[in-house]
Amino acid sequence: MNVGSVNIGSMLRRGILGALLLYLLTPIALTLVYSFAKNWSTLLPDGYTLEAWGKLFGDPIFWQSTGRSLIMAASAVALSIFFLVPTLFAITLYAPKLASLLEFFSLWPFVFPGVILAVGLIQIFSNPPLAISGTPWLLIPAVTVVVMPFAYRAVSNAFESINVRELAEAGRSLGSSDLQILAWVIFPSVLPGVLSGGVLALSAAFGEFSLAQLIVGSAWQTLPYYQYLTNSQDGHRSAAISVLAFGIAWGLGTLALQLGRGSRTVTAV
Amino acid sequence: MTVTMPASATQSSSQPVAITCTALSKFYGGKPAVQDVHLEVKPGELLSLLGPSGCGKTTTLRCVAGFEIPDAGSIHIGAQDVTKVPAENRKVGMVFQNYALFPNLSVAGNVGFGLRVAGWNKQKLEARVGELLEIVGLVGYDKRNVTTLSGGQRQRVALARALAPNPRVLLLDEPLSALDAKIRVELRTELRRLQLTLGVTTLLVTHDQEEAMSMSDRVVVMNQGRIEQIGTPRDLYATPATPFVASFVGEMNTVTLEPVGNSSFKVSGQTVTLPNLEVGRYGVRPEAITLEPNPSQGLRGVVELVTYLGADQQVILRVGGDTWIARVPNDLVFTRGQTVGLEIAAGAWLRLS
Amino acid sequence: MNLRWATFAIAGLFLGFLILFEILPGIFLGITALTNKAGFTLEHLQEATKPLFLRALNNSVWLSLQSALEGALLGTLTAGALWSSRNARVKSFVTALSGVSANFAGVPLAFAFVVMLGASGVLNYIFTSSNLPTIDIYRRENLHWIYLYFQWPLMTALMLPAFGAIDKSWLEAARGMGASSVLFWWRVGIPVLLPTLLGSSVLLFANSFGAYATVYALSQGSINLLPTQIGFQVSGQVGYDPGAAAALSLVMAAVLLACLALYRGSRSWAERLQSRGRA
Ligand SMILES: Nc1ncnc2c1ncn2[C@@H]1O[C@H](COP(=O)(O)OP(=O)(O)O)[C@@H](O)[C@H]1O
Ligand SMILES: [Mg+2]
Repeated sequence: MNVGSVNIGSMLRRGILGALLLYLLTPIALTLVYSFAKNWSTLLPDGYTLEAWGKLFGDPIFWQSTGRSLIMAASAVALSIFFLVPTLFAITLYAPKLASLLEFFSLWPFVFPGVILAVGLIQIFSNPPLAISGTPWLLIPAVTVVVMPFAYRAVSNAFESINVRELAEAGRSLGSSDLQILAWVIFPSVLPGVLSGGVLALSAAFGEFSLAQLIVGSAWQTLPYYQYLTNSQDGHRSAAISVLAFGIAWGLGTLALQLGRGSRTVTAV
Repeated sequence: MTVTMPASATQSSSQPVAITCTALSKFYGGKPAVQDVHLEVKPGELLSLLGPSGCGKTTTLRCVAGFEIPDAGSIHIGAQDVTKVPAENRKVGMVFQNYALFPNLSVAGNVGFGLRVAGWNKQKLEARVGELLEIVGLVGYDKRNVTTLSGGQRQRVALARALAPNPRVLLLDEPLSALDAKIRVELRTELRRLQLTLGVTTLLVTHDQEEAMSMSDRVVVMNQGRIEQIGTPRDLYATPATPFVASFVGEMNTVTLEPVGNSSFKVSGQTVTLPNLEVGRYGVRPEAITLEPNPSQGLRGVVELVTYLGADQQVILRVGGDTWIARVPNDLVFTRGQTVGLEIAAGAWLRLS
Repeated sequence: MNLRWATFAIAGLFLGFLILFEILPGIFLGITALTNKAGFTLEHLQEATKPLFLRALNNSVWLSLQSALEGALLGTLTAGALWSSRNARVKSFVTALSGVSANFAGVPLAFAFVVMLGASGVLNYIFTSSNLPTIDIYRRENLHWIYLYFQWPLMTALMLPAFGAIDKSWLEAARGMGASSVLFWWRVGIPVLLPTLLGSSVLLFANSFGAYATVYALSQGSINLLPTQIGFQVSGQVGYDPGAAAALSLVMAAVLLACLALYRGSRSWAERLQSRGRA
């Protein structure tokens, strides 16, 4: 009886894990096949071709959109790290009481997600003095705000994994200035966690669509918007982009895991 | 475990200096953590701050290190008033309770940190690091990542790092408390031997009275932010100044002598004759008690529990309503339920008050 | 203390940035929703109660409830399976895949589902030829299938740490005392997991409630949900009405704020439970 229950348990376990894998991988696998398919209206495609991929990689607009997505994502992540690392350093070392304020800012985007953030931003920045709506100059800060909670979690986890205060004291007792401690110890120690979180945030920012569509739309087209326009013209090319996007997400996810070996999944709240 | 001393290490670069705290007080949110502490660590001496958790030991040490600014009083290192000198300019070596090793640096990187900060050239720096690794018995570990070391090894790295820049004084905050019992006892001896060889003035914080007693030249017993007694381990044990010291340092049976008549007192519910003593609270060390299997007079107790300790044995006795502890040689065998006499020499009654 | 000054200067810049691009938009929403040219008004909020918008709210709530429940149930079972699995490679692969898929939403995901379940999707072909009902992915009732793609792995990732807090030796101890594993889960496992389970479900609800990209990419907004209505009212394809957009945004923010409060409550409940377990 005992043996029986163990078997049922392991069957259930395999069943549920198999179901998840099937659910997550089937759409990607079928989309991959579709991107190579000639015409597919029965069980199997009529034939295979590299046409969709060729068209995709031959399209200068694709490269331009990808480049813009990269610029947008990298700027947003760089900006949040540039802000977060010194801020967390200052708060941990000099003003621990301000930590809750920073946490408040990191929770706010949960209540005002992309769509409604865009609504507010468009209203503020459509008129002078700062009429930057419709330009990347508004899109990049907006994406920064949206990925900030992820970046904040990652950076603050990295700061919590070392005892900044005690390390700074150890350094000071050895005669070093705070700057030396920051440059030689604190920064190198938090770097893996920061990079790992930064890569995850990069992945999220790269695929950001709501803000791109509402704030700039076709005026400054990014990759998701390019795919959105492609959907109605050429399904096979769109399929290729889906596969590419999953590949990029997977690659960045693996990279993040490598960088922050052993660190947990980062959630925004 | 052996400690080898390179010739150069023993020639201390400078004369040892004293640490003097005068009327030191520190408050947190109006509550005193340290109150009116006067103490002097003499040049070359190892002085321990001993007391229960929360009594203000760490706060005192942090004031000396420069991480806390005292609310009142002053601190001198040698002749210099350092009360307002920032920590990075005090030239004190500090070992933290959790070592606070720099996780991104190798063993050598940690040990050489203070020298790098001071701008030593590479050659001199490497030589000095090698010297220190030899002193603490970590030769060959220079390239190791500190996160892969055992607790005892980390402790040694922390010590080497603190000593490398030739600090004027050494501060240790519970340096051994994070270690396993066996390593802790080993390192105790090793640390003390090293301190004696280097002759560096050392202030050690611990809540472990055995550690304080075995390592120190003198011990400061603290309680609730105040000093209870300063003295050599021998003084504290033989003549505790307060009931707190008596019960905190070593084991002690504490009793009240109640008046009955001329030189007669009621102790643990029994009447005994004790010439030359007065009414009041007294303490008796367990080893000052002799157990008499065939009692004729004096205190009597019933054996409750006998614990064999190798060199001797501990006997727990019920005397009236009280529990007494005696520590006696192994040659007599006591059994549970046996009635014995407790013989205590007149000089063994320690007055507490 | 140059460094102190420099880091505080950057922190100050950060504060300014956040106020300008994060806080101010929220405040502006409130102002736009509650004023017109004449001053304070409730007309936008009243407009937000017109049938079209109420249906959108209703649809969003039901879709989010459904996808949160499905995700929570399957994700919890999956996390449990991972917890009890002894195969380290399967564990780390599924964990990594969950982490990636939980954040994989938007246009690429929508199109992948079109390939499977669109008008000429291959799965639908298989369904038709096996006489099974087909799934029209462009219909609102079927949207939850797409949302499940990120909700299921998200719940798995959220529940894994909670399962990690259950020591496997507890189960052995319970067995040793003669308790069945059903009894163990009922009396020990579920109570330990419950706060995280509830909190994560709320998170899933919020995740779906504010989701815009996937459904927009799928339907260009023809599916009537709260986020798509809000998008409509500002991007002006159908009607341009910033007042209504702001009012609807406030409704959404209020729901999400309630979710956040519930989530935080569940977190501190879980922490209390853990500290009691340690004591
Ligand atoms: N940074 C601080 N803020 C507030 N109270 C403190 C702080 N540091 C220590 N205390 C309090 O001061 C008292 C003495 O602490 P400490 O010196 O750390 O004790 P010990 O090292 O003897 O255990 C304790 O009651 C402690 O709670
Ligand atoms: Mg302490």
